[in-house]
Amino acid sequence: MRRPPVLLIFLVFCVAGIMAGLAFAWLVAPMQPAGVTPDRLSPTERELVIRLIADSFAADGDRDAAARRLNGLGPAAEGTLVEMIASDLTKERPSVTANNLIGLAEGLTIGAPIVKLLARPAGIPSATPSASSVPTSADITATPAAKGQFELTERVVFCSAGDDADRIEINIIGNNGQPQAGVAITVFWDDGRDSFFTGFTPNQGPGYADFTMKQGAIYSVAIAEDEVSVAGLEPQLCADGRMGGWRLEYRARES
Amino acid sequence: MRWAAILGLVIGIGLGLLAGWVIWPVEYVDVTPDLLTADAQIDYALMVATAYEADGNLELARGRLARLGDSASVALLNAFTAAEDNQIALSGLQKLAAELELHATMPTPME
Repeated sequence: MRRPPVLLIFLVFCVAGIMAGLAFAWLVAPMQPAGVTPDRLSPTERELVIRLIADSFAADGDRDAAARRLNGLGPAAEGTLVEMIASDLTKERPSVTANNLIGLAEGLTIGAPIVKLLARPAGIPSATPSASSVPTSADITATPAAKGQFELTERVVFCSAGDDADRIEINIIGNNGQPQAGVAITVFWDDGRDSFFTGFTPNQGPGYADFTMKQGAIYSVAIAEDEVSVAGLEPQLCADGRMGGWRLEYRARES
Repeated sequence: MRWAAILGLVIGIGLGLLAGWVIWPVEYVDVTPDLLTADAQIDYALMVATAYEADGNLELARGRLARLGDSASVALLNAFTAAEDNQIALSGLQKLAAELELHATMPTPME
């Protein structure tokens, strides 16, 4: 019986080795990247980063940084921004979120028709209070609310995993440190108001009441006979794309 | 005969690894922010802090930072240097670092 030539054996095993080496290098232990540039982000992540760029630009107004960051996402980023603005309009996203995207497109002079249509004419102030003017929980300790029967002690955004939580949750603590039922709460918005009382949701405790917000509306809250203590409340965008709400806590002042 | 097979296999595997790791390495597309370059992650953290300073939405800021994975804390702390004289970003960074309890490693706030 004739044996195959040595060269043939060498070549056959060499090809098998190359295939095994490639399979190992590509599938089993691929080279880990030292770091990829933002233009390699997935479409979903790219949209989240565009929202982040818009929120950041709304806060600091740094046009150069915003342009650099958007360009870093690749040549399609401007088109994605315009698509997101259109998508937000149809989904009725909260106005701050949508306005920030429009503000970014406007600031970077992106000439899409929808941007021109939605751009705020110069000289007309925004209908939405600027986010920086809204007191945060940190500000509350520095500048206490106007004197009244109840003092706002906490104001935080909350999210509910996998669910929309577009509501205002209010907890009232009485003088004795216990939740207080039967306290009147009034919520105001552009063209309406609603009054209700704490204590009608037994599983949440006697000091609890909540109010479901509608997207696009901005709300203020007043407790009992006090003046409005919180303004500019609207649904917030959570990290998972769901809507978040506001959790407020009030304590009765010492008489 | 056997030596030809072994030699062929060893050389083949070597060539395969060279091709797969150096010449045609795997290209990463559709990645998440945790795979970004260090500079891009720092810039990302700066944006998160700047936005947080304006909207005060801690849940959103926390969720955004979480997308950086294990690098989030490092990126946030390095962002202090990158912020230079951007007061909005610095203020946001200080608040975020405090909320995320990074006090121990946090640079002393400048007056």
